[in-house]
Amino acid sequence: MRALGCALALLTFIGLATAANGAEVPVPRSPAHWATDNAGFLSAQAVDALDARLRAYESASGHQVLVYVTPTTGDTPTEDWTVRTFARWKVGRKGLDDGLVLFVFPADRKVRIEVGYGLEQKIPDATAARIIRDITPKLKAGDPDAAVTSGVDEILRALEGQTRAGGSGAPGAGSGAYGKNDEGPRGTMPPDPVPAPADSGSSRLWDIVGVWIGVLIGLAVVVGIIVLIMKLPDPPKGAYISSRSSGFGLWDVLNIVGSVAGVAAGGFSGGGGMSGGGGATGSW
Amino acid sequence: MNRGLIAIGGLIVVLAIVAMGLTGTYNRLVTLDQTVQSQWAQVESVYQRRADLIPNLVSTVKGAANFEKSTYVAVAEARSKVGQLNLGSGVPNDPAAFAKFQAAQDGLSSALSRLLVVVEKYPDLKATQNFSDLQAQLEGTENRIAVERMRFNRAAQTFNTTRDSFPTVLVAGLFGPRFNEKTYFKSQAGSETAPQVKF
Repeated sequence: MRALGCALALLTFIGLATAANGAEVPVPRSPAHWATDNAGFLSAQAVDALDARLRAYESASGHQVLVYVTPTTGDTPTEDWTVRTFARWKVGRKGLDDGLVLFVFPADRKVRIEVGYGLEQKIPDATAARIIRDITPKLKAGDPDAAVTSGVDEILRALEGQTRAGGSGAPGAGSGAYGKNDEGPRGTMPPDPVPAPADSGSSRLWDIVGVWIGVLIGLAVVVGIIVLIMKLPDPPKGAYISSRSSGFGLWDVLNIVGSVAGVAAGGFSGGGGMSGGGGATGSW
Repeated sequence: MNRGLIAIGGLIVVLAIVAMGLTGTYNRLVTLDQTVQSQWAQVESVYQRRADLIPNLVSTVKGAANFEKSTYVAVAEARSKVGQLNLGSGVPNDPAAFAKFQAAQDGLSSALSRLLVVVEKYPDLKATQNFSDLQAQLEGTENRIAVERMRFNRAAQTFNTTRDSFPTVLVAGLFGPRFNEKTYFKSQAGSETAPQVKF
């Protein structure tokens, strides 16, 4: 009976943590395809062709490159929305951060290339801005298929190291030393907003004892939460940061299940990459 | 069984539990502190990236005919103030050093935005490939600064929440300035809005 109560309280807690997570990042779940159009902006053939191409590109090069068309980012500024979305989808491989997403927002008339940390050398901001300047006239002219397809052409060409002739100063931001604490290329040191669990330094005995202390603390927390739930009808707002970093919520479980299912079905699934706001935005 | 022996045994158990609690608390603080430090390195690196763009920017606008000298001189001066910052590694733990860092960087931000306002009056300069590349790099770098600052604040808040919770707060003070509360970036009044061009 008591165990049942604890389990119920735990479920409620997971539910609260999930609700808080959802409020923090109003961004979509990871797409199942490499090319996605939620806005009916591109033709179905163009989407299929892009999807097949980008899927093949990932198997060949390892880089995850996505196209994502959705009507609008709402009240959120474009760059803010795209960096959060990228972080949730985890585009690119973990540690290499070699992902890239071409976002198109037809209702906002905006387009953005969001570049993972590991590809900032190959596609510096100036290159991303040039690609966008090349495709916005086609968007303006009402030919979205050609615009997005040629944008992907240029992105893949740049990733293969074939920069366009006639450029000056483009790689400026990509070279030179950055912070004194940087030990190498940026891709090798992705920031991890979720602190990794402490390892080493403690013996097995401590670990075992620690587990039991953890169990005791856990029980105390559950009891505390039951008390809290009885006292507070609403989940506390603005407390998402601590819950995000400590909670392994239902959302994460769903994400993992979804990823596994996606791999089984041959769909896209993020590899654990991050972006830091690199890239460029344009409007038409 | 001797009563005294039981009492001593009980005391040892209690002390052992306290010691374990201390170890766990210390290790947790170390982990969170490391996250803050590595995020701080990211913040420094994106600001450094911006500073590296300045010489090229200044020489580009200098080349434009009759460009208002005071604006790019102000940018170069603000850049050199940033370059003179020598604050060491414990900046997030030291509110005074942190304030100095932010003041210098904000000074460069506002000098830069004034310069970009002035550039609007020089359409020939704006149209050049070199300047539009520079502008893309500046915009991207400002966006990176916003992202890394946000992530730093998040890491600092996670650390501070743990550090100031009971009973960790009783332990945190024992280890010197290392586990001081971390300082946050504050957004400056008006810094969130793009510069307006008025005639």
